[in-house]
Amino acid sequence: MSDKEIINKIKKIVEPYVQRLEGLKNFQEETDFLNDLQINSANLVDVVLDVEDEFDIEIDNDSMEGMLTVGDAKSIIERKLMTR
Amino acid sequence: MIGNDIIDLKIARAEGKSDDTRFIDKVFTEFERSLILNSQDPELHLWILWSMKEAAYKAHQRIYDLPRKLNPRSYECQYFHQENSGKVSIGSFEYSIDVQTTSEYIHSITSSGALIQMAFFNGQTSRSELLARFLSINSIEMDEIKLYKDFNGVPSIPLKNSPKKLPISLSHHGNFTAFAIPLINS
Repeated sequence: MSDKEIINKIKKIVEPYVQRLEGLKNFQEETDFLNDLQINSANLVDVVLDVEDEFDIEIDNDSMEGMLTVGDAKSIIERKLMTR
Repeated sequence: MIGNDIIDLKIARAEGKSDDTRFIDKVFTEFERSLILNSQDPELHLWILWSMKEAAYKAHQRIYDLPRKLNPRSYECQYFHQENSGKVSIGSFEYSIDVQTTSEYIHSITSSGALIQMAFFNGQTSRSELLARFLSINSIEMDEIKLYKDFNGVPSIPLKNSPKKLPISLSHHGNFTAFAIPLINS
Protein backbone atom coordinates (compact mmCIF):
# COMPACT_ATOMS: atom_id res chain seq x y z
CA MET A 1 0.00 0.00 0.00
CA SER A 2 1.38 3.41 -0.97
CA ASP A 3 1.76 6.35 1.40
CA LYS A 4 -0.98 8.13 -0.45
CA GLU A 5 -3.41 5.22 -0.15
CA ILE A 6 -2.76 4.98 3.58
CA ILE A 7 -3.23 8.72 4.07
CA ASN A 8 -6.48 8.70 2.07
CA LYS A 9 -7.78 5.87 4.22
CA ILE A 10 -6.83 7.74 7.38
CA LYS A 11 -8.68 10.79 6.08
CA LYS A 12 -11.82 8.77 5.54
CA ILE A 13 -11.57 7.30 9.03
CA VAL A 14 -11.16 10.62 10.83
CA GLU A 15 -13.76 12.60 8.89
CA PRO A 16 -16.77 11.78 11.12
CA TYR A 17 -14.86 12.99 14.21
CA VAL A 18 -13.43 16.22 12.81
CA GLN A 19 -14.77 19.39 14.38
CA ARG A 20 -12.70 21.82 12.35
CA LEU A 21 -13.57 20.94 8.77
CA GLU A 22 -11.15 23.54 7.43
CA GLY A 23 -8.36 21.28 8.65
CA LEU A 24 -9.39 18.60 6.13
CA LYS A 25 -8.64 20.83 3.16
CA ASN A 26 -4.93 20.55 3.62
CA PHE A 27 -4.76 16.98 4.88
CA GLN A 28 -1.14 15.88 5.05
CA GLU A 29 1.37 14.10 7.30
CA GLU A 30 1.82 17.20 9.46
CA THR A 31 -1.92 17.48 10.14
CA ASP A 32 -2.46 17.28 13.88
CA PHE A 33 -5.56 15.39 15.00
CA LEU A 34 -6.16 17.57 18.04
CA ASN A 35 -4.92 21.01 16.96
CA ASP A 36 -5.72 21.10 13.26
CA LEU A 37 -8.80 18.88 13.15
CA GLN A 38 -10.02 19.44 16.72
CA ILE A 39 -10.91 15.80 17.22
CA ASN A 40 -11.62 15.37 20.92
CA SER A 41 -9.43 12.90 22.75
CA ALA A 42 -12.18 10.32 23.38
CA ASN A 43 -12.85 10.30 19.64
CA LEU A 44 -9.13 9.93 19.02
CA VAL A 45 -9.41 6.56 20.76
CA ASP A 46 -12.23 5.78 18.30
CA VAL A 47 -9.88 6.70 15.47
CA VAL A 48 -7.35 4.19 16.83
CA LEU A 49 -10.04 1.48 16.90
CA ASP A 50 -11.21 2.32 13.37
CA VAL A 51 -7.63 2.19 12.11
CA GLU A 52 -7.29 -1.28 13.66
CA ASP A 53 -10.41 -2.43 11.82
CA GLU A 54 -9.57 -0.83 8.49
CA PHE A 55 -6.02 -2.19 8.31
CA ASP A 56 -6.60 -5.36 10.32
CA ILE A 57 -3.83 -4.56 12.77
CA GLU A 58 -3.54 -4.20 16.53
CA ILE A 59 -2.32 -0.92 17.92
CA ASP A 60 -0.74 -1.49 21.33
CA ASN A 61 -0.78 1.15 24.07
CA ASP A 62 2.80 2.26 23.40
CA SER A 63 1.99 2.97 19.76
CA MET A 64 -1.32 4.63 20.59
CA GLU A 65 0.49 7.05 22.94
CA GLY A 66 2.23 8.72 20.04
CA MET A 67 -0.58 8.79 17.51
CA LEU A 68 -1.13 12.54 17.35
CA THR A 69 -0.66 13.41 13.69
CA VAL A 70 -1.52 11.84 10.35
CA GLY A 71 2.17 11.08 9.88
CA ASP A 72 2.32 9.32 13.27
CA ALA A 73 -0.66 7.19 12.30
CA LYS A 74 0.85 6.40 8.91
CA SER A 75 4.17 5.22 10.41
CA ILE A 76 2.39 3.07 12.99
CA ILE A 77 0.21 1.48 10.30
CA GLU A 78 3.22 0.79 8.07
CA ARG A 79 5.16 -0.73 10.94
CA LYS A 80 2.27 -2.95 11.98
CA LEU A 81 1.56 -4.04 8.41
CA MET A 82 5.16 -5.07 8.01
CA THR A 83 5.19 -7.25 11.13
CA ARG A 84 1.79 -8.73 10.55
CA MET B 1 -0.99 23.46 38.95
CA ILE B 2 -4.38 23.19 37.36
CA GLY B 3 -6.38 20.91 35.09
CA ASN B 4 -10.04 20.61 34.25
CA ASP B 5 -12.35 18.77 31.90
CA ILE B 6 -15.99 19.09 30.98
CA ILE B 7 -18.27 16.48 29.42
CA ASP B 8 -21.58 17.33 27.76
CA LEU B 9 -23.68 14.35 28.84
CA LYS B 10 -26.15 14.68 26.02
CA ILE B 11 -23.40 13.94 23.53
CA ALA B 12 -21.46 11.52 25.73
CA ARG B 13 -24.43 9.35 26.65
CA ALA B 14 -25.33 8.98 22.99
CA GLU B 15 -21.95 7.32 22.41
CA GLY B 16 -22.91 4.22 24.39
CA LYS B 17 -19.28 3.55 25.26
CA SER B 18 -20.06 1.35 28.26
CA ASP B 19 -21.09 -1.37 25.77
CA ASP B 20 -17.95 -0.94 23.71
CA THR B 21 -15.46 -3.41 25.16
CA ARG B 22 -12.69 -2.48 22.73
CA PHE B 23 -12.94 1.19 23.70
CA ILE B 24 -12.99 0.25 27.39
CA ASP B 25 -9.90 -1.94 26.98
CA LYS B 26 -7.93 0.88 25.37
CA VAL B 27 -8.87 3.47 28.00
CA PHE B 28 -9.48 1.80 31.34
CA THR B 29 -7.59 -0.52 33.66
CA GLU B 30 -9.08 -3.77 34.98
CA PHE B 31 -9.92 -2.05 38.24
CA GLU B 32 -11.69 0.82 36.48
CA ARG B 33 -13.56 -1.52 34.23
CA SER B 34 -15.07 -3.27 37.25
CA LEU B 35 -16.06 0.11 38.72
CA ILE B 36 -17.84 1.03 35.51
CA LEU B 37 -19.57 -2.24 34.82
CA ASN B 38 -20.69 -2.77 38.42
CA SER B 39 -22.18 0.69 38.79
CA GLN B 40 -25.87 1.44 38.46
CA ASP B 41 -25.23 3.80 35.58
CA PRO B 42 -22.20 2.46 33.67
CA GLU B 43 -22.30 5.12 30.96
CA LEU B 44 -22.27 7.98 33.47
CA HIS B 45 -19.55 6.28 35.49
CA LEU B 46 -17.41 5.76 32.42
CA TRP B 47 -17.52 9.45 31.54
CA ILE B 48 -16.83 10.50 35.13
CA LEU B 49 -13.63 8.43 35.06
CA TRP B 50 -12.73 9.74 31.62
CA SER B 51 -13.09 13.38 32.71
CA MET B 52 -11.01 12.68 35.85
CA LYS B 53 -8.25 11.22 33.69
CA GLU B 54 -8.32 14.24 31.39
CA ALA B 55 -8.14 16.72 34.28
CA ALA B 56 -5.21 14.83 35.83
CA TYR B 57 -3.48 14.54 32.47
CA LYS B 58 -3.65 18.30 31.90
CA ALA B 59 -2.29 19.08 35.38
CA HIS B 60 0.47 16.47 35.07
CA GLN B 61 1.50 17.65 31.63
CA ARG B 62 1.65 21.26 32.85
CA ILE B 63 3.71 20.57 35.97
CA TYR B 64 6.31 18.38 34.32
CA ASP B 65 6.42 20.08 30.89
CA LEU B 66 5.50 16.83 29.21
CA PRO B 67 4.84 16.35 25.52
CA ARG B 68 1.31 15.37 24.57
CA LYS B 69 0.41 11.70 24.77
CA LEU B 70 -2.66 9.59 24.22
CA ASN B 71 -2.20 7.31 27.21
CA PRO B 72 -5.46 7.27 29.17
CA ARG B 73 -4.79 3.82 30.64
CA SER B 74 -1.71 5.11 32.43
CA TYR B 75 -3.94 7.31 34.59
CA GLU B 76 -5.79 5.16 37.12
CA CYS B 77 -8.85 6.51 38.90
CA GLN B 78 -10.50 5.92 42.21
CA TYR B 79 -13.87 7.60 42.50
CA PHE B 80 -15.67 8.36 45.77
CA HIS B 81 -19.26 8.80 44.77
CA GLN B 82 -20.53 10.21 48.07
CA GLU B 83 -17.83 12.85 48.24
CA ASN B 84 -18.01 13.90 44.58
CA SER B 85 -14.29 13.46 44.42
CA GLY B 86 -11.61 11.06 43.41
CA LYS B 87 -7.94 10.39 42.97
CA VAL B 88 -5.98 9.73 39.84
CA SER B 89 -2.55 8.18 39.93
CA ILE B 90 0.06 8.21 37.21
CA GLY B 91 3.18 6.32 38.17
CA SER B 92 4.09 7.55 41.65
CA PHE B 93 2.13 10.80 41.29
CA GLU B 94 -1.37 11.31 42.59
CA TYR B 95 -3.94 14.01 41.85
CA SER B 96 -7.07 14.77 43.89
CA ILE B 97 -10.01 15.58 41.70
CA ASP B 98 -13.28 17.34 42.47
CA VAL B 99 -16.08 16.02 40.34
CA GLN B 100 -19.30 17.91 39.78
CA THR B 101 -22.04 15.91 38.12
CA THR B 102 -25.41 17.26 37.01
CA SER B 103 -27.95 15.76 34.64
CA GLU B 104 -26.37 17.83 31.87
CA TYR B 105 -22.65 17.76 32.42
CA ILE B 106 -19.65 16.39 34.34
CA HIS B 107 -16.89 18.76 35.35
CA SER B 108 -13.65 17.47 36.86
CA ILE B 109 -10.99 19.72 38.26
CA THR B 110 -7.71 19.42 40.11
CA SER B 111 -5.63 22.26 41.45
CA SER B 112 -3.02 22.94 44.07
CA GLY B 113 -4.68 26.05 45.47
CA ALA B 114 -7.89 27.99 45.70
CA LEU B 115 -9.32 28.69 42.31
CA ILE B 116 -11.87 30.42 40.24
CA GLN B 117 -13.89 28.25 38.01
CA MET B 118 -16.89 28.58 35.78
CA ALA B 119 -18.98 26.50 33.51
CA PHE B 120 -20.89 28.10 30.69
CA PHE B 121 -23.80 26.66 28.86
CA ASN B 122 -24.04 28.32 25.52
CA GLY B 123 -23.95 26.72 22.13
CA GLN B 124 -24.05 30.00 20.22
CA THR B 125 -21.28 32.00 21.83
CA SER B 126 -17.76 31.64 20.47
CA ARG B 127 -14.99 30.45 22.74
CA SER B 128 -13.06 33.70 22.49
CA GLU B 129 -16.19 35.63 23.46
CA LEU B 130 -16.63 33.36 26.50
CA LEU B 131 -12.99 33.78 27.39
CA ALA B 132 -13.28 37.57 27.16
CA ARG B 133 -16.29 37.45 29.47
CA PHE B 134 -14.50 35.15 31.90
CA LEU B 135 -11.46 37.42 32.05
CA SER B 136 -13.52 40.55 32.52
CA ILE B 137 -15.54 39.00 35.36
CA ASN B 138 -12.24 38.17 37.07
CA SER B 139 -10.70 41.58 36.33
CA ILE B 140 -7.86 40.13 34.32
CA GLU B 141 -6.45 42.43 31.68
CA MET B 142 -4.86 41.27 28.48
CA ASP B 143 -3.65 43.31 25.51
CA GLU B 144 -5.36 40.99 23.17
CA ILE B 145 -7.75 38.16 24.01
CA LYS B 146 -5.47 35.43 22.85
CA LEU B 147 -4.07 32.56 24.87
CA TYR B 148 -0.40 31.78 24.89
CA LYS B 149 0.44 28.12 24.26
CA ASP B 150 3.83 26.70 25.09
CA PHE B 151 5.63 24.14 22.92
CA ASN B 152 3.58 21.34 24.45
CA GLY B 153 0.36 23.21 23.74
CA VAL B 154 -0.27 24.07 27.40
CA PRO B 155 -2.25 27.34 27.61
CA SER B 156 -1.72 30.41 29.77
CA ILE B 157 -2.80 34.05 29.82
CA PRO B 158 -0.15 36.71 29.08
CA LEU B 159 -1.01 39.54 31.48
CA LYS B 160 -1.12 43.18 30.49
CA ASN B 161 1.87 45.25 31.64
CA SER B 162 3.52 42.22 33.18
CA PRO B 163 5.94 39.56 32.06
CA LYS B 164 3.91 37.02 34.01
CA LYS B 165 1.57 34.50 32.57
CA LEU B 166 -1.41 33.15 34.44
CA PRO B 167 -2.03 29.43 34.02
CA ILE B 168 -5.44 28.58 32.62
CA SER B 169 -7.12 25.29 31.94
CA LEU B 170 -10.01 25.19 29.53
CA SER B 171 -12.29 22.52 28.28
CA HIS B 172 -14.99 22.47 25.67
CA HIS B 173 -17.49 19.75 24.82
CA GLY B 174 -20.80 20.10 23.03
CA ASN B 175 -22.69 23.01 24.56
CA PHE B 176 -20.34 23.46 27.49
CA THR B 177 -17.18 25.42 27.95
CA ALA B 178 -15.33 25.57 31.26
CA PHE B 179 -12.37 27.68 32.29
CA ALA B 180 -10.28 27.41 35.43
CA ILE B 181 -7.53 29.65 36.74
CA PRO B 182 -5.68 29.49 40.04
CA LEU B 183 -6.04 32.41 42.42
CA ILE B 184 -2.61 31.83 43.87
CA ASN B 185 0.27 31.28 41.52
CA SER B 186 1.01 27.62 41.52
